[in-house]
Amino acid sequence: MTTHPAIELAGLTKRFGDVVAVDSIGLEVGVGELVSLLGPSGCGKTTTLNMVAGFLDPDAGDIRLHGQSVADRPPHKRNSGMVFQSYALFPHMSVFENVAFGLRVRRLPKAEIERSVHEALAMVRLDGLHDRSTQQLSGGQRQRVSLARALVYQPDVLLLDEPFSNLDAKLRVAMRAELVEIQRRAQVTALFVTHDQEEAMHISDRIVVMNAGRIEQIGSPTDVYRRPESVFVADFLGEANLVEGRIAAATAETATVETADGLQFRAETTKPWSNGDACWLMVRPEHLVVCADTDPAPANRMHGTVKSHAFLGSAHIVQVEAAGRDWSLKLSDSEWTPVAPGDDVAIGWNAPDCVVLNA
Amino acid sequence: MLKYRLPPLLVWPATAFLGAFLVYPLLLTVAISFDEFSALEGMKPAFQVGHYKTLLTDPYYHGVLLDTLRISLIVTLASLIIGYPLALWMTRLEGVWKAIAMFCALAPLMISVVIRSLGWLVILSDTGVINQLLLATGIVSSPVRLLYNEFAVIVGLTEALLPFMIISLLVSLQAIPNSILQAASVAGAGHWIVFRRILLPLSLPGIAAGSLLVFAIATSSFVTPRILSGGHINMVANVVVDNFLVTLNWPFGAAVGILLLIVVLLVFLLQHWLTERILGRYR
Ligand SMILES: Nc1ncnc2c1ncn2[C@@H]1O[C@H](COP(=O)(O)OP(=O)(O)OP(=O)(O)O)[C@@H](O)[C@H]1O
Ligand SMILES: [Mg+2]
Repeated sequence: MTTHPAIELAGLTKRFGDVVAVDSIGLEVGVGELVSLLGPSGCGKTTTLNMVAGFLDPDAGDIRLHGQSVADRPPHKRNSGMVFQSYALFPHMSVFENVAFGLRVRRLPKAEIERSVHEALAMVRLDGLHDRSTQQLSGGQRQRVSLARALVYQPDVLLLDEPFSNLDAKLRVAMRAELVEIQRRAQVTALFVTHDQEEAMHISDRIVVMNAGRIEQIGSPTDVYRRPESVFVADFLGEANLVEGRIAAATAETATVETADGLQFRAETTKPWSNGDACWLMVRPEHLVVCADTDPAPANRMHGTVKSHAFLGSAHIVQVEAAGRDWSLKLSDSEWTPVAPGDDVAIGWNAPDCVVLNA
Repeated sequence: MLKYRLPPLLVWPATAFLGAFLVYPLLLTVAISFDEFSALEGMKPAFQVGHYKTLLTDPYYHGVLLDTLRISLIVTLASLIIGYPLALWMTRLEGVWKAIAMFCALAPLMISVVIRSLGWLVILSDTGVINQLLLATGIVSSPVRLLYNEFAVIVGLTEALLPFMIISLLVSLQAIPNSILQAASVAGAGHWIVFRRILLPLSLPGIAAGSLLVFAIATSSFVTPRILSGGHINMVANVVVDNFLVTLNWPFGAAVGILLLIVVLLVFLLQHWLTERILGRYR
């Protein structure tokens, strides 16, 4: 028996009038994997998820769950579970009945329903609340009921559309860790939609970065953050200092980028570049350092003037004007040597810490 | 949950209005219903239950009451059965189409009942559209009697009261978020189960309100029954009107009115009890 991916999207396309909401996307999600669809508002995340769930018919392409095409199956015949941003609990049913719904629909014996519901409620740490009305629950509790309701019948895939965005900031972070643990324990394949890059980085095995209906990049959180393949991805995930330029010299592992005003920066790269290629250079604020004159020079180094400084608790954000543009530095509090606006400083970064991107 | 407290001033106009035009006339009606009446001397203040006795013992009035209840019940069920799918379909529409559908559903309210009943006269008569169609297609050889009977009254009342049902249903159907229906459907529920376990219980308050509204208005209608039954069928309200306007027997008319009010209140209680019981089964 060959093993198929749990979810397979091939050339999936959806149009709303003139708008191409989802533009021929392809994706494979392995069994038990947690994959996030990440992108700005309106990039087609919900539309993609709704097609997988069966609420929307694709205009082109195919959706396969465990190797079986489900494109012409209605939602109730796809054996998937879904968690909604708005919880979408059944207001006329108790917590128990909400969770039991998928089992009752499947006509399971009473005793088994009872047992499975209690197991599912225990999994989301809501045991004892089964008699409550859903109106008597907090937002976090409601979302956990909704998670239990989606998992209790052991769906082939779990679909989540911004499930935590109605929760307050602290709870949102706590729920992330909890979701990952529950997903691991239930061994369910999950497709998670979010526009919060930190959330995606925190929970995902892999991240699918979307932009305007297309997939920009697929990779592990480390991959998409450290080795973005486009300016969009570099900019969307975290902060980025971006400089436009051309390749001045290139070998198999290194490239020298020259800006329009003649500055040269060295970078390590795995892509083959030719002289004269238009490109962007990206370096994360946390990879920029303030260097003393005695430091062994980092590969790339400039002199500049501190424009501003802000203390965020765990880090300091410093803006430095150098080589005619602003550079953003993020310095950890433990390595902080005080600088003040107006100070002359040398800043720099190492060649492996920056990325050369296609223009 | 904290309730926002309305300043008492806001409630005064409504209280005053209801007091002056509902409670006071109602008490007056109750008082009159115990008065004496004779054709020669008219009304005389008294306290006797003769009118109620007549109402409860005379088979003629039993007939009127039963006719009224039966017709109103059928009209209520018919408008529910026609109105529910229509209202459900309307919740799916968007933008201009919704506005147009809404207008079409509610437009009948802008035309007087008299005119609409006269319209049905034209449609249902022996030479009307329906009979012409039946004759032309050879389904029948002589005109079917559609007018001046209970059927005509039911058709006329259903058409007249349908908007009330649709409005009530729309209000409760529109309050059901789409995501709840989607959640049920992903969990494995087909259309029928989504309808029975989610849509129906969540729209029950609308069904109850619409049914009560239609039933109450049907029991108190008198123009449509008079015109479409050609005077053959007397509903309770016809008896009230005749006593107040024709024989001038106000006390008896008042007693009939009070009886009708009691019946509607009983139906309301029954409806409330039923709704609660049904909803309780889902919890
Ligand atoms: N029912 C619809 N009719 C018309 N256009 C739609 C419809 N649903 C979505 N769109 C359009 O399709 C595009 C993608 O929408 P989608 O809801 O998938 O975005 P999203 O990535 O989920 O965004 P968000 O983060 O705001 O939820 C948007 O341009 C949106 O305006
Ligand atoms: Mg969305």
